Amino acid sequence: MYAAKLCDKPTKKKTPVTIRTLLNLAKKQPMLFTKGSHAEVIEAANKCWKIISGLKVPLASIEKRRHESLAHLDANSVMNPGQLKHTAPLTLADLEKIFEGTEEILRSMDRFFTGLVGEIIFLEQDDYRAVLRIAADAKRSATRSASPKQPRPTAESE
Amino acid sequence: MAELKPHLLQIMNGLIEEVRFGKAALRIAIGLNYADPDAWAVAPLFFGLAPSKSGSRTDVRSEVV
Repeated sequence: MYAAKLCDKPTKKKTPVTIRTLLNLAKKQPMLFTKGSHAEVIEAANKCWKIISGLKVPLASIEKRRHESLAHLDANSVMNPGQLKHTAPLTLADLEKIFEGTEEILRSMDRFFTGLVGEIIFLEQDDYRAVLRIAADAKRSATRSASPKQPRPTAESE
Repeated sequence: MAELKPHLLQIMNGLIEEVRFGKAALRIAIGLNYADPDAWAVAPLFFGLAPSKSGSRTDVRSEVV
């Protein structure tokens, strides 16, 4: 849904804020980007549109999934629950590409605005690993304590 | 009703926030995808549903989401 929101298309009723909004603004009002000339801003925006064009296939899959399963429950999705896997294929690598692309766009446009945007991440983004480690350790120790104890070998039996 | 028009800083901040949350959700989905089976066995329903925000839904353990 985050990827869908970033590249959503406007409808008759709503004009969402998306990457397209940013790029359209750069073309129509380059003077808002105060750290570059108008030509530089427009050229950067054109390069960013090419990044979006390169993501056309996964974005189409995301849009279809958004409309038919994530934001709305489409009748077809109810009747054929597994169909989206074939009609709108999407992999984790596709999603990674989309976020990398949008991050690149935000960074390259910000060069002409604040110039402060670096890598866009949460500093604690790997903290889920701690939860997984604790859960795995707990499961292992529970399994160990549930299994019957083996008698210790004595000196005579050896 | 007049259409609301956010200014550039608000647009940038809004989009950056979406990328930040999206990347974190995706990273968690990928992490769960390759998690130790012992961890999954503790709460398979919870771990199965946790990454649903990234759109992975029920087939989170497969490469295709």
